[in-house]
Amino acid sequence: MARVSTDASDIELVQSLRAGHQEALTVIYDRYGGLVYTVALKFLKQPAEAEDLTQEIFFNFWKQDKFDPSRAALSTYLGLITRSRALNRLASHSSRQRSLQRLRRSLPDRTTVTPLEKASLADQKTAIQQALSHLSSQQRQILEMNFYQGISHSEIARQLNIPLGTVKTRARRGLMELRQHLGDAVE
Amino acid sequence: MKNTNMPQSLSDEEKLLAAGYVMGDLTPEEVEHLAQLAETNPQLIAEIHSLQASFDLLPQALPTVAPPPQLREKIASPQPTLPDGIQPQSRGLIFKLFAGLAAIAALLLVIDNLRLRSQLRVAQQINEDYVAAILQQPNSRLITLTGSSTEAAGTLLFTPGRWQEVIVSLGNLPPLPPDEIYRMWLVLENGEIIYCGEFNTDSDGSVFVRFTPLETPPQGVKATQLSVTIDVKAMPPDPATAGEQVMEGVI
Repeated sequence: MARVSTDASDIELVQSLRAGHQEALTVIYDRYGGLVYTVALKFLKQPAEAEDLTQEIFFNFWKQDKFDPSRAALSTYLGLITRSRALNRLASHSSRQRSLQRLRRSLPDRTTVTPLEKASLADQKTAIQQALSHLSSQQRQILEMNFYQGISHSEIARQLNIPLGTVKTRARRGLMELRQHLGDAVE
Repeated sequence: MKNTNMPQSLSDEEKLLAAGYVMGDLTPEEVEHLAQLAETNPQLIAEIHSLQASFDLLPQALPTVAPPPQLREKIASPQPTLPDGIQPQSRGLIFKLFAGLAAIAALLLVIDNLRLRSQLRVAQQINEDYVAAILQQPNSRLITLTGSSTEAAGTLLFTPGRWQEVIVSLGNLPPLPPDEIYRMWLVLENGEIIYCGEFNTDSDGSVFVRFTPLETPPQGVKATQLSVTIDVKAMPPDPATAGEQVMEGVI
């Protein structure tokens, strides 16, 4: 049986998995299981549910892989798929369905993998956290409620008792700040 | 004043619109405005990509929580235990999950600015000329569409006998997740069902779209009903497999 090197690139691992070497999935898990579980737990709150979703994400990736490495880094893909699936699960249990449905669109539809995506997860984390630190607390609050809690801008406006226009402006300016501080790493 | 020989810088307004676009919270008017701006300034498309790339990486900013050790064993086992909710005999559910994943993955395959282009296309197509051209037909008609069990409402503008072009305006219809799509169908008096087109609604739950159905009713056969369903995006349009009906209208 062919062995899969733990040093293999993401693309090599995906190719290996597609060639039927299931052990490649374990290497991919070792690399990104933490990311998937973290995102799943952030949304679902319950460790058992996060574990279940993590397993589902990797199971589906193995059985029905349509990942295209030329469009996004594997880490980006897995992070966003997990967010999307977690929102799906929440929507099915929650009356917030309409709000949540509005937020499930942030799957990559780009054609290039940015320099930042090619960096290690640790470097990505540092860069994004650093960029986020430049946002005002109001901008960060809205961006986090929207992205990490799946709350729509109109619901945020209601919860914070501020006009929807203000929420939209803060969210947009927050994203602009984030992008500006990430600079050419996202170009 | 714009110098076409030099790369154009982006105004604050353009950047705000681009950011709003990435977050999906633009009004249809703002999308149209952005599309017009992007036509004359390609740098705006690049900026949208960079904003999208920034937004896409937010999951990576979360402080990492280590998964429980037993999870690795489950993933690594030769026959991974199926997660709760996926039963081997439940082909429908498995199919749904796979179809969903395929649909999501399919997003990765689309060209870089498909989303902008499609919205740009809609924005460009729905101009006054199209609507006026139909309204100028002496027998043009407006059909009311209502939600089957919701408050969704809207109208379809068409000219009887000319189904090659219809204009649809709907509201209060929640946007769908990426793996689903709204599809509109035309039911004929002979029971045949014709596919008109597909769409999703914007963050406000509305859509204003022009359909040019490939298939139209045969000569002499009247259309009697319109129907909007929620379908799995990965599935080709087929009335036999169409999903739940969410809107209807009598012609």
